[in-house]
Amino acid sequence: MTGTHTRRIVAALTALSLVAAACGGSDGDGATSDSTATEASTAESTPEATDAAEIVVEAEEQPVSTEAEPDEEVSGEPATTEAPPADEEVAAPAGELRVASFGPVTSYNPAAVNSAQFGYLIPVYDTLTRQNADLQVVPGLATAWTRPEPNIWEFTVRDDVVFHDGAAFDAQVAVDNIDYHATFEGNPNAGTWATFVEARVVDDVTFQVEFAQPVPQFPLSMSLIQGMMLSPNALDGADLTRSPQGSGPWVHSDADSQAGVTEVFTLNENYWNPADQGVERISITSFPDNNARLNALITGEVDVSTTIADAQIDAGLDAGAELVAVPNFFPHILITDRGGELNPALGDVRVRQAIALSVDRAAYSDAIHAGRSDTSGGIYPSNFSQFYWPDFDDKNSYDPERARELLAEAGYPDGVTITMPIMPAITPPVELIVQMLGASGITVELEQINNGELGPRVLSKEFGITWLRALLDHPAGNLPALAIRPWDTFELGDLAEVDDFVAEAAVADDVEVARELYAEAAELMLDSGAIIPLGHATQNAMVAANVDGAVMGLGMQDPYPHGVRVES
Amino acid sequence: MLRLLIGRLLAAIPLMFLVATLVFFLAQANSVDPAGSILGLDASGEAVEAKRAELGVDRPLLTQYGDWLSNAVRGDLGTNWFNGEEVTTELKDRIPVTIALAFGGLLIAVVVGCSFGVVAGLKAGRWQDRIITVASSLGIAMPNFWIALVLAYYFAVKLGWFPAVWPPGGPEGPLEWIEALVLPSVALGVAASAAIARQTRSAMIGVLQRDYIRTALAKGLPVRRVVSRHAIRNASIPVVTLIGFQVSALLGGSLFVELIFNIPGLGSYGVDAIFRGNVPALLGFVMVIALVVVLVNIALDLSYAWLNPKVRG
Repeated sequence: MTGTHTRRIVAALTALSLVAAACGGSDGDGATSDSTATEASTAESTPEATDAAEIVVEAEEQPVSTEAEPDEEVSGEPATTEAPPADEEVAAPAGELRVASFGPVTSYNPAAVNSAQFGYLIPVYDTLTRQNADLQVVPGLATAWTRPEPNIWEFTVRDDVVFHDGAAFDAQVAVDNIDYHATFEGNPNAGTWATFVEARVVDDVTFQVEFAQPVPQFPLSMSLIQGMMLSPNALDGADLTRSPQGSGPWVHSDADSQAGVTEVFTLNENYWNPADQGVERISITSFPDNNARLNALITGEVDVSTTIADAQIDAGLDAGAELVAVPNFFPHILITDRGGELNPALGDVRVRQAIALSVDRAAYSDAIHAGRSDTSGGIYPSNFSQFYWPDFDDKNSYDPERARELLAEAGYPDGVTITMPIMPAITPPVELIVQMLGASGITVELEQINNGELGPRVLSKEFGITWLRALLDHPAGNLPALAIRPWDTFELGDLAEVDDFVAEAAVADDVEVARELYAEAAELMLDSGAIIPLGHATQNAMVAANVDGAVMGLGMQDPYPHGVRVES
Repeated sequence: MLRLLIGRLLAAIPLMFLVATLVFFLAQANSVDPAGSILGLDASGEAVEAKRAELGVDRPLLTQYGDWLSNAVRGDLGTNWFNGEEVTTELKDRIPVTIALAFGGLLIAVVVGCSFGVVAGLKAGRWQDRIITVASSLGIAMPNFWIALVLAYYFAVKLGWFPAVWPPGGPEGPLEWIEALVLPSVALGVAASAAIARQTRSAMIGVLQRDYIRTALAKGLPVRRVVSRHAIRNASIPVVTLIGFQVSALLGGSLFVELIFNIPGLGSYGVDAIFRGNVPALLGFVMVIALVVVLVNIALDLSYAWLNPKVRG
C-alpha cells in the first residue's frame, strides 16, 4: 500500500517535471568574449597568480653608516590622524563599511603575519605612524619623531590612548612592543629588525630605538604591520590568533565573525580620535576569486574591493567605482650570474645590456598590466615622487637593432642562449620575455619549476637570470635588497658601491642630496645589467562611488578604514 | 531492506579508512611547505623549523598518521594550521552551505533533465528531440565555471536580477538564501541536467518500444496515462542510477562554482587547503566529501532496490 502511494507521488513529481519542461527555459547561451568576468579571468597576470612568485625584497640589512648626522625632523600634519580640537564637531560614525579582501586572516598577531594581512589588522591596531594620500609618513600613535643620531630614532607618543582592554599606552608600552616585534620568533617582517640593537624609554611619552646602522625608512616601516602596537597584557605570550588586543578605532567581534570567511569589527567607543571613525561597523569578507571581488563591488554587495587586477580596472571604472592605487610592484629581470659562472655570455655586460635593450616595456605593460603599468626605465615609477628620477625614463629603451650590435660586439653575432625558470604562476610574463628577447637573437630555454620554488632555486644558484617581482619601498632598504642581499648569490661583490651610495644617502641631511645618491645607486644597478626593469605596477583597490576618504599607503593591499565614510 | 542498509553501512567503514589513509599520504606529496607558507619568505630557517615542530610535521609520517587517525575516529579532525580554528567547527559551518548548493543543483538537474529527456523521448526524431539533443550536448561540453562566470556577469552584474556573490555575512532569511543559490545552482546543474536528459531520453525511447506499452496503447489507454503510469516509471531506473553519480559530480563541481560566487562552502575550503598545504583542513574536507558520497551511494542502492523489486532479492 505504502509502495503504491509513494509511486503515485513520484508520478506526480514527474508530471510536474513535464509541466516545467513545457514551460521551457532560457539557457542564456549568449556568452561572448567581451564578458568582463571572462576577460578578467584570463587576460592578465592576476595578483594572486603572481603572488606565488613574488619575492619580497624589503630591507633585510641596512647600509653601513659612514658618519653621524644631526637631528632630522620628519613629522608632518596628517589629514585625519590628529585628534580634532575638543570644540570641533565630528560627524557621528554611521553605517557599515563592507570590504572584499583577497584572502582570509591567518592571525591577529601583527608580529606573526605579513603585509597581506594589513587590512584585517588595521581596524583594531594603531600604528606608530601612518601614511597619507601623498604617501608621506604622518603621525599615528607617535606625534613626532626625530633622529638624534644616524642610528637612533626618537619618537614622541600620545598620552591619551587606551587599549581595548583598558590598559594605557605610553613610551614603556611602545618600547615593550618594539622588543616584542623585534624578537618574535618567526616574524615575517624580521627584515625591519635585522640591525635592531635596543629600544629604551626616555620619559613617559618619549622613547628611542637604536640600530647598528642608519635605518632612514624606519618611520615608514612603523606605518605598517610592524608598527602596530599591542596591549601590554598581550605581550606575555597571549594567543592572539583570533583575539586581537589593540587600541584601534574598531573592536573585533568574534561572535559576529566566521573564521576564514568574514571578520566583523564594531566601534571602539573610547577611541582617542573620533574623526577616524566614519563608520560604525566594518566587515571584511574573503573573496579569493578576482571576478567575484569585482562583481561584488559593482553589484553593491561590498563598498571596497582590494587587490584588483589591472585588467579589471576599466570594468570597475565603467561601473562607477573609483580607483585607489599606490606604486607597489616592480617586475624586472634579475641577472645574478654576472660573473658568467653558469653561462659565460651573461658575464659580459654587453650581453646583459642587449637583454635590457630587447625589453619593450610598453608591450609588457599592454600584455601583462592592461597598459596600466608605468614604463619608466628606472627603479622607481613616476607616481613614486619621492624617489622617481626622470632621467631614467628612457634608459635602455627598446632597441633590438642595438641589442644585436652589442651581441656581435661581445662575440655573439649569431645570438646567445640563456636558461630561465618558469612556473605556472609566472607563465604570461616569462613567455612574453622569451618572445621579446627572441626578436634580438637571444634564445631563452625555459626550465619548468613548481610554484613557490622560484626564490629558493635562484638563491641556490640553479639559475643566473630570472623574472622577479619586487615590492617597492624606501630605497635605503629596497635598492640593496633588489640585487645584493640576498641576490648576490654568486658573491660577486660588483655592486658594493650601491651600499656606499645608500649609506651616504641614509645620513644625508638634504633630501635632494639623498635622492641623488639613491639615483646614482640605481644607475649602477641598471648599467651593470643586474636589474632590467619591465615596468612598475600599482597595488589597486576600488571603492564604490558612495565611499569617501579611502587612502592607501606604500606596502598596503587595503585602504585605511580611518576616516572613510559610506553615504547611504 | 534493513539488511541491505546495514550491509552497506558496514562496508563503508573500511572504505572511509582507505580514503583517509590514501589522502593522508597523498597530501604529503604536496610541495608546499606549510611552515614556510605560514611564515613567509623572510622567515629564518630556525623559525621555519620551530613552526614545523609546532605543527608536528617534523615527526615521522606514521606517527603523524596514527595521531590524526586516532583523533579522527573520535570526531576530532585537528586544527586549521592557518587560523587555529577547529577543523570540525569550520566544516560544520560550511557543510549546510554546500549541501544547499548541491541540492539546488540537483533539483535543477532532475527537474530540467527529466523533463527535457521525457519530451525528447516522446518526440524522438522530431525537431523537439533534435533541439534538446543539441542543447544537452552543449550542456555537457560547457564547463560549469564558465557557465558560472557568464551567469554572474549577465544575470547579476548586468541585469541585477540575482546577487553576484554570496552575501557577505551570509544570507538572512529563506528568500535571501534562495536568491543567493539560484545562479550557482543553475551553473552547477546545467551539466548534470544535460546528462540526465540524455539518459532519460534513451531510456524513454527504449521503454516506449516495449510490448506492454504497445498493448496499453492498443487497449485505448490515453497516451498521457501510458506515459505517466508505465513508461516513466520503468524508464526511471537507469536515470536514478545516473542521478546518484551526478551527486558526486555536483560536489566536485562545487569547488569552482563556490569560488566564483564566493560561497563559503566545502569547495572553497578544500581549494584553499590544497593551495596552502593545510593538511588537517584538506583531510577534513576530503573525509566529509567521501562520507557524503558514501551516504548518497547507500541511498542510491536503497532507492534502486525500492524501484526494482528484483534487486531486493
